[in-house]
Amino acid sequence: MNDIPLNMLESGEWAEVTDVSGNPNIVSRLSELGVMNGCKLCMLQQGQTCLLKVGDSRLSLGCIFSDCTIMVRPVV
Amino acid sequence: MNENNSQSKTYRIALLGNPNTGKTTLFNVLTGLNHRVGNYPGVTVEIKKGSFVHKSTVIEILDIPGTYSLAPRSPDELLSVELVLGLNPMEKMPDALLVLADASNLERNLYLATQAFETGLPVILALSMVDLATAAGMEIDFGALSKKLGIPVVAIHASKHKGLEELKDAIILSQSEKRLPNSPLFSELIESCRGKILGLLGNKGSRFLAGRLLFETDGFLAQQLEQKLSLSLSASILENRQVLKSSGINLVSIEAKCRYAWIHELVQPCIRKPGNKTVGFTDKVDRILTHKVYGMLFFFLIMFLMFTALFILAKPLMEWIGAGKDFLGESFESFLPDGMLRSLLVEGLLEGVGGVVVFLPQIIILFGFLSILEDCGYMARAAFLMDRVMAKCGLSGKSFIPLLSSVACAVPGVLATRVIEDKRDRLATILVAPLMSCSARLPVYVLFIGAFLTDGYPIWFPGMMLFLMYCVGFITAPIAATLFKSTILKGKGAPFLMELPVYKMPSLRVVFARIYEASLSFLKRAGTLIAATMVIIWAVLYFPCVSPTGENYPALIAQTENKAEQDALLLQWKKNSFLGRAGHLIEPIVKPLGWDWRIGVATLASFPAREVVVGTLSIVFGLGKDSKDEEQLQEILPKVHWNDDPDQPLLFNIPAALSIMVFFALCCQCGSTLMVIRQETGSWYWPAFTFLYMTGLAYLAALLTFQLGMLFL
Repeated sequence: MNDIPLNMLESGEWAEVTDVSGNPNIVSRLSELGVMNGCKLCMLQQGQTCLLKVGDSRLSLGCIFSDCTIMVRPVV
Repeated sequence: MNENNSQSKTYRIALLGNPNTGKTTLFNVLTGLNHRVGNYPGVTVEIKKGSFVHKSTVIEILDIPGTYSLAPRSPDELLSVELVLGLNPMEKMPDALLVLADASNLERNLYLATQAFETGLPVILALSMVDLATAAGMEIDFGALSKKLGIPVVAIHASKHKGLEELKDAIILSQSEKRLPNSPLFSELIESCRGKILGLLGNKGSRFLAGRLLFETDGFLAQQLEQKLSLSLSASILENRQVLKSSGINLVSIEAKCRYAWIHELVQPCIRKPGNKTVGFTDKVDRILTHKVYGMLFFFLIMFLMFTALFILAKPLMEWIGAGKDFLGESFESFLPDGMLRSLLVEGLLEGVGGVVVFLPQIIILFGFLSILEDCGYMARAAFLMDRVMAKCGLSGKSFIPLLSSVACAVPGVLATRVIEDKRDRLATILVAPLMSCSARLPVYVLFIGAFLTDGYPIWFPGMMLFLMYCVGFITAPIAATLFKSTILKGKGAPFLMELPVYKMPSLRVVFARIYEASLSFLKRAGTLIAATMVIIWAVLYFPCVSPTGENYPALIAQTENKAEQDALLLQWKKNSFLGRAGHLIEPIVKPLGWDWRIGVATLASFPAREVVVGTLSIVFGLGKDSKDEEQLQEILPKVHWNDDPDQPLLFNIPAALSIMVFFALCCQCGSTLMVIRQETGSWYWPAFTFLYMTGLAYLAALLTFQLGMLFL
């Protein structure tokens, strides 16, 4: 399957992160919270501000897509 | 602290943990009331320091603000790192670190712990939320975890006082054992680069600090350290980074990658989890509560319940306090001779302060509600839901909680903006937070709606009017924020990154502690600022107490038997007082709002604290000495004529009542808020700006309300 931007992942879908790039401050903050290449995540609520499940935590991300790009590969 | 006791030694520990791990609760339970807030120049974070004695050792704890990582990107975060590493000149280096981690999200929480492991200090790991982890089907082998990490691991439940003795024992033991934790080794190349930087740092260095300098690409820490330690590091840092880059290492994410890989390998044998795709309680609830439609509906339902409860539950309590105040007033009047002292005590202090203390039940209920919502984990969901709305005003969901808290009081609201990392967002939120209708506006709304918009209207009408008055703030604040963010605070919306905690039962201890703190500060304010204001207002309304013909008003009134004549004299006295004269001076300004000098005076008097207005209105509307509780004032107001002349039209009509309420809804009449803005922004410019823009806005809006109201109503 092809890589898609995170915000195109539908609610309830699981995916593996293939690339995080952009503003280094945000990329490193995201990585500290566990969002980095190779991590698995689930889109809990899709939208401009989305809710993700990463590991055992739920992260809400908003307004970050203009600063960085998160590419994911959906897993079935 | 027990510094006098020479037998005991002080052992210093710094308490670290992610946000939402229960760190504050642990700190409070360990130190009791024995703590104080440290002030450090140039930062906004509050750092608490406390101590307790265990086995004749004084243990001093420094509460480091909750953080996911010890990677400083702002002065506030830098302070945390400095305190942990002993680089701050105001604090000695801690002897050990206590890391609190959420057991239900262990791997993510251990990230911060692995950074602590590299500081070269003994570390004690405390695990909270073990019950939540168990409920989610996880099994954690604490013994194995402790063995693998090489440090003591203690499961605690702070609010239930579980595991605290073991934790204290472990802290004491770490003093003699000095066991150092195992810490992640990065690749050979990275470690050799790190080693070179470590060599330059000398005795101030640690593997952690060297690693930070290597991985922080924005150079903030390096720059700060070079200044503080007068070292020249940049060349070596850049050189070593170049070495890593040229071998294909991504400096931005390598640290997280290595740490998480190490943690995962270490934790895996110690923890048993249900399958990755099992849906837990929190996720099930979140499907509804964070849903775009159902979530919003639930949010509005919760808000509606909160406001309704505020009025229904508070009413009887307020009546009791009001009755107590009246009783005190009567007893004062019965044993104090008529005169200045009695007037000062009863009309000035008791009325003014009592009139404010009456709102204590509302403060209690509001803070109770807000802290329950916060502690059970719902507040973060509300911020998530509102992020989209806030984004439209150029703010993020993080601004939502401060704005919601401002419905209780703008002072905690402004303090709550500390969670907003982006400076412009934070400032914009501070500037608009006082526009939210706080509990001090409530008496004004209740008084005027009760007097003019209740009798002869359907039963639901007053409640709706009240809601509309709150909406004035709800609508104006986002508009003002949009304006500020597109003009003076121009900037892109800051990224919104927030963790939503697991739902849990709110802890009564936490809720009560917040209510207690809020009530205490409210009462303190009533006893200081408001009491002082009321005494001043009383004085400028009392003096000069001599009529232009040289007669003493109190004496004149005492000689007069006729109640109407007494009232006339009283009015003449008030008109002639300093405040009355000032009121006449500003009458041309307030007349277009539909107000006379008396309303102008009451408004003028309430600039230090808006609660004062009800008391001042009851004084200026010449209620005499009988009684001045709100109910009575409510009945008097509709019968007042311009200049108290029955031949002139009634002073208040609906447009005038609305214009007063709108003015109070938008005006910045709160000395405490201005002071807290000064404290948080570090300049007098922003409080002055807030005061001017809000007062201007309030005047214009009140003018518009009255003039349009006269046309259409």
